[in-house]
Parts: sequence; structure tokens; C-alpha cells
Amino acid sequence: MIFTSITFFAFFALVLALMALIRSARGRIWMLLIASYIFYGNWNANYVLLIFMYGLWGWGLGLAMYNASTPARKKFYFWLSVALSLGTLGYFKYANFFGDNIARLFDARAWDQVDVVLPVGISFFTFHTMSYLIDLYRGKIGPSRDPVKFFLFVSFFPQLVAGPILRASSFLPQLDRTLRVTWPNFVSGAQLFIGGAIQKSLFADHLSIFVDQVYRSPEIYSAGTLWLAVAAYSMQIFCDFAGYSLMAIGTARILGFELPENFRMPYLARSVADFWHRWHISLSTWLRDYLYIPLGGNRYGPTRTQVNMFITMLLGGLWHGASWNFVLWGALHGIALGLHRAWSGWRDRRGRGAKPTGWLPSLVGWSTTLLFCCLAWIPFRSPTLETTGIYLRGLLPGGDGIAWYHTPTLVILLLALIWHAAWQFAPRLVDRLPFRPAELVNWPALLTLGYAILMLILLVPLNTQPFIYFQF
Amino acid sequence: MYWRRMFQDCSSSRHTELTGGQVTGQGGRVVQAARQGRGRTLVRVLLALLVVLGSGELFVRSFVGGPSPQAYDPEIGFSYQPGSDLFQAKEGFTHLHFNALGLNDREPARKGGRCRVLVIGDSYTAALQVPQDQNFTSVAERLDPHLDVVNGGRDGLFLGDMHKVAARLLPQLRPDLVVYVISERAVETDIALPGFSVIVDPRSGAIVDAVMQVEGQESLKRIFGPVLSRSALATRLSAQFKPMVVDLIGQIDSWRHGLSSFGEAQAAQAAPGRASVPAPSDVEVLTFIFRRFRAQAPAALLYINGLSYAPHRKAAVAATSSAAEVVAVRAATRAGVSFHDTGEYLVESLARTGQPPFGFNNALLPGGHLNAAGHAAVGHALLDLVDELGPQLASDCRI
Repeated sequence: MIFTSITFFAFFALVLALMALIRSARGRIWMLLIASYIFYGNWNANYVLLIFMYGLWGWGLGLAMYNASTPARKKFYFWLSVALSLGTLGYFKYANFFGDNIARLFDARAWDQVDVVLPVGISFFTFHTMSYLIDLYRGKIGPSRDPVKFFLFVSFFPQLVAGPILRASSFLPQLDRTLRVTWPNFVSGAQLFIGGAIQKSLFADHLSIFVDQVYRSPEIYSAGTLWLAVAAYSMQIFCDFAGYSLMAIGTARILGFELPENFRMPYLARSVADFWHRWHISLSTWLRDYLYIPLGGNRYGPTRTQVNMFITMLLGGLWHGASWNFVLWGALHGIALGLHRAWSGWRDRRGRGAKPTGWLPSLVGWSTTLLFCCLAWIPFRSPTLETTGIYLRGLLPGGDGIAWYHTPTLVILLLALIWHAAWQFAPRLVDRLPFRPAELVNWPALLTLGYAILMLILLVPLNTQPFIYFQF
Repeated sequence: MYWRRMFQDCSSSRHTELTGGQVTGQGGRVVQAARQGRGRTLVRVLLALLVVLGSGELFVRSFVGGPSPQAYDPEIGFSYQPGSDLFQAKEGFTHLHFNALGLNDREPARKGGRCRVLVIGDSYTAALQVPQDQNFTSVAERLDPHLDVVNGGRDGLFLGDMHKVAARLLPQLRPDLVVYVISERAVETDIALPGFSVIVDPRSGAIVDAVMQVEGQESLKRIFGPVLSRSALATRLSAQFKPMVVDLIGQIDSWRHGLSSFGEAQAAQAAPGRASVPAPSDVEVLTFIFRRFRAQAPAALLYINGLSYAPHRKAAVAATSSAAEVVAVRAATRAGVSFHDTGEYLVESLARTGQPPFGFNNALLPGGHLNAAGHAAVGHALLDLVDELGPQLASDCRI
């Protein structure tokens, strides 16, 4: 069920109606849990059992761990929960990858036939469950004794399939207060949803028409077209994912929940480290807290820090999918982060400050980061390593491919440029959004929202694309 | 009640003016002021709606497309309204005028000793993506002033409907030759559509008729036609909502079909002993259709090949297009209709101009419909076709 589909609107209208009809707080939690399972079951009814099992072992092992009489038992329950979560994730996500590689390496045909269907959003609910269990093990949070609340935490439908990744410490307390749909939350949530829908349907889906065609056969296009597709895909993946996150945050807010911010204009970053503070924030902080810091973080010297950072990014890349392209993407970011850290350290040691100041260094930092991040998306988007090679070669000047400058793509990139410039240079204008309930009857709000809705209805491509991050 | 309960916190929020709760228990003057305030808000909302819709209409007319020139046609679904105009920016950017016959062509002139060729086909022929003087019928006319080529194309015209268009235009135009333009879609998809039914004589197994039923969705044009022909915004909205409506109609049709097939099954049980006839092959169906073309007037087939592209601006005829062409050639040979393809012309066009013959900068490139370069190539193919067949045709074409 895609957020921008009629099915979802009907589903969500029903959820709101039930929120109004059901008076008890407990009843509303039950209703949201059932709605979440229906939302997930709409994609594949069989895998509802999987998400239920995640809830069951997360809740059960969490309690067992908390009540364990000895540290050894506590440790046992903890590692059992990690093994179950990662084992299940690993099986669904990487069985095909290993099957293909074993078949290729050892010419073993039986392995070639491994074909496991990846459950949508499995990475996200695995991460929810694991963050709860790790925090519980570390003693940062108490156990969730109410299974219904815990099951809802694992499967809450607005963010179920593509994040933002929830932390038990911020979500579970929200279930302890009375759930209400309030007018201010409705107004603000609906506007966030519209903003997300514009990013997804007007920007990302239109860009995908050009990007998909170019990536299907990059060898036939000119260098100019390939560079345009690099820019287009960079904007597409941002608008697609940030759009989904915004719609998820908006939907949740309408229901009375606050979800964490997931994107903060990442293409305005002035370094790769800054980029990761702005891009998929809930994943980067998850990786920092549950992978980088347990690996040792920056506690064991510069070399070990670099290694830890590289491993974290490599695994972050592999998390996106079982493909050498994702490994390459993760490795590139790992190397870039390492270089940035080394350079910042070098500046710091010479008393120049870790971060450069002044407009020229900022401009150089921003443009270098943008160029690197955009080019790093090439392996991320390419279906194979071979295509990545062809694409990179095609970017060099001197080719004689077909020159295609897709007009809608150029218009969208121009609009995106204006949007980013407004964010950077006119923050007061941006801060006026979303409109508050009292402002809704004013002309700026009426016209802005009127045009936004009209453009959404008029210009949404007929072939709605699924969200890119559904596959992760 | 429903909404008030749903937005429970309204009265407690600082934005209470929207709820009306603020005026409770206060004097009549406050109530009256609140009513006036509400009235002003309503007027403002309605004005904003008008402004948004008005500028939306202007926006669509300027950048997306004009009002629909289509009118409901009970035989072929829809046809272009005579004398209407079309603006579209979906593929290419064109302003077109349909003539008195509802064709994307100039007004029909007197034959005046010229060889008249009527071209019938789907969107490749209708050529709504390029200016009228750049489509392949105009190109062929320019290449040979002795030719009078009439563009009888309509976008989305099914192979099973082409003879109906010919039957309608033949008495008025009296062409020396009718050229049917087909492609992989016509050969493979059109004859497999659920609305296309082949009627077979149960005794001989021969095909007696092949009919394309008008799709249920087209009848909506009869209802909404007057609005769509005046408003670009309404036309665009209808295009956006069409998939949903089509889905709904399909759903209703399948329920209806389910019920009627239950009835048919009962009728079949009541009348046993009917021998089942094997379904005719694609070649047999196409042969029947092509024979029907020939029975109406001297006919020829022009096949638009799809291309597959290689680096360095090279292309070859796509394998799927070749496979469909083989089937079409076999049927054309059986039906005794002359068959000509455009593959060489299109490939040569790319090699010569460096420009793919299909696609536009604002849509797919390469892909989609023929662009100006593609139409130029097909124009040459059409001219060669007429040159080749001319000697076998009426006296006006024997030059």
C-alpha cells in the first residue's frame, strides 16, 4: 500500500474514523496494531506472521533478559535475540546473493536456484527490535511489559516499510499517554504529508522516467546525458526517501505520534561527515550507536577509528542490499569519511580549527561533497558492477552517444535548486511552513495549499513508482 | 458530532476560532460577529478556489495540453471532432488543427489527376507529436507533388477497427490505394485484447468475422464530452483519473462477466453435443483482417519497425519487432496484400542524421513515437511503396 495511492487514503480515512469511534485508549492501540498488520498484509499476507514473530521474540526475550537471575542468562537471552533478528534478516536479505555467488564460484547449479522473496521493510523492523533489546541489555531503558504496545512499536504502519527507524525510548512512552487526533496535529501532519507527496510524486517519480531509461542502457547516451542522469538520480533518491519519511512523519503526527526527523537538506552539506548528519539520520545514528561505538568508536587511537568507521560504512552499504555495488558505495563513503577525518585532524593540529571558515572554503567543501555524493550514487543505482564501469567510462568527454536533455528533468532540477537556495539563503521563508491552524484562512496559506494540491492532482505521473527504499 | 469528537483538543487549542467554541455563553453581538467572520472566511475560501482553478486552467493550456478534441464514436470508440484544435506537450510540443473530416490533415482538395493514397493507422499515423507539415504523409507529398496522401490515422486505433475507418472515408475520398500502417503492437497485442473477438464457423472452422468491441470507458466521452472539449483542466483531470475509472469499470465488467458465464455454463449444459472448434492461430486471424482490407480497396501494409540501439549512435531492428514482422508477412502473403517494412529507412536515418527516429526531449529518447527525423524516414518508405505498387494501380498512380 503506497502512501500516494487511493487505497491508502481509503485505509487512512477508515483508521481516522475508528480513532473517533473508539473511546478507550487501549482500544485505539489495539486498532492501530490491527491496522498496521492489515497495512503490511496488503503487500503479502504470509509475512504478517514474520512481523508478528519479531514482536513476539522481541517482547518475550526482552522480558526474559530483564528478569534473568544471572548475568550469564541475561547474556544468553541477549545473544539469542541478536541471533534471531540478524539471522532472519540475513536469511531473507542475503540468501539469494550467497546462492548466486556460490553457484558462480563453484559452478554449483543447485545454489543458483535459491530464490527468497525479501519481505518489504524487514531491515526497519529488525532495527527497531534490536535497538530495543540492545538498549534494554545496556540498562538504558526498562522492559515493555505490555505486548500490544510492543507489537505496535515493531509494526507501526506509517514508518513500517521505509523508516524513519524508531527507538523504543522515544516511541513506547508515547503509547503511555492518551492517543488523540487533534486539530493542530491534523493541520500540521496533513501539510507534512502534502510536502512529502510533492517530493515523491512530482519530483522523484518524474525524475525516475529519465533516470530509469538512462540506467537501462547507459552505453548509448552522450556524456552530457549521463551527467544529467547523475544529477537526476541524486535528486530522485533524496526526494523519494525524504518524501516518504515526511509522509510517514505527517501520517504519524495526525494520529498523535512524533517520529524522528530523517533528512535535513543533505545536499547542502559541506563535508561527507556533515552529509551523514543530514542523510537518513535515523540510520546513521543507529549505526553509530549500535555498530560504530561497540566496535570501539574513536576510543582506541586514530588508526582504529578509521578502521571502525570504514567497517561501519561497509556494513551500512551492505545493509542496503546484497550486491557488490552497495559494498562499493559503502566503501567509498567509508574512505571519504576517513580522508575527511584525517584532514580535519591535520588542520586541527596546526591550529586552524577542524572546520574551515569563510565563503570560499565553504563553497569548495560544499561542491566537493556534492560531487562526491552524486558520483557515489552511480554504483548504488546501477544494476551490476559492469553497468557501473560502463557508466563511469561514459562520463568522460569525447563520446558520441545520443544526447538527450529531458526537459521535465531540467525543470525539476531547477526547482530543486531554487528550493535548496531558499533553504540556505531565506530560512525565514521556509520557517513559515507548515502553516498553523489560525493561518489557514489567510491568502498565502489558501493559495499555497490550493496550488500544492492542484499540482499534485494534475501532474502526478500515471505510473506511480514504488518507493526506492521499500526494497531495503 | 463525528468530527468534533475526533478533534477533541480543538477547544483547548489556541486556535479555537475555527471550532466555534469560543462564542459559547457570550452575548448576541459576539455571536453575530463570529457569523460574519465565518461568512468572510467562506467567501475567501471560495475566491481562493476560483483563483486556483482559473490559474490551473491557464497553466494546463500553456504547458500541458489543450481541451480534448475527441468525440464519442460508437463504432471505433472516439474520433476527432471536425474543425477542432489540439495542443499537446506530452511528447513534442504541437498545435494541430483537424480538418472537416476530423483528420490531422489539410482540408481534402480535388484529386486533380494526382495519385491519392489514404493512410490508416494508429498513433504512428495520427502523428500528434509533430507539426502537420512534418508528419510522414506530408513528407511523402512534398517528395512527390504528384501524390495526394491523406492522413486517416487516429491514436489508439485498433487493428480490428481499421476497416471501419476505411469504409467511412472511401466514399468521400475515393483513393487509388489504401495503406494500413501497423506495428508490433497491432500484430501482437491488438488481436489478443479481451474486446477483440473472432467468430468462427463451427462446421468449417473458417473465420467469419473479427470484431473489436468499443471499450466501455469510451462511452464516458458521451457524457463528459461537452466539458472536456471546453476545459483543458477538466481534460487533464479526466486523464489523471481515467486509470481509476477504468479499473472500476473493469471490476464491474468482471463481476458481470462472472455472472453471465455462469448463465452460459448453464445454457451449455442444457444444449449438449456442440463440437468444440480449435481457436484460430494469429496468422489466420491476421490473414482474415488483411483480406478484409483488400476486399474494400487496393491495399498495402506498411510496418513500423522498433529499433534496438547500440553505442556510437548505431541501431538495428529490434528482435521482438522482427519476430512480429515474420507473423505479419506470412499473413499478408496469404491474404495477397503487399507488405513493406521501414526498418532499413529508420536505421539509415539514425546513421545519417545522428538523431534517433523515435522519441522527444520532453518524453523518452529513444522511445515512444516517431519524431520529425522518423517521419522523414517513413515518408521515404511510403513513397517507395507507392512507386513500387503504382504500375499495378489505377491510371493516376502509373507514373
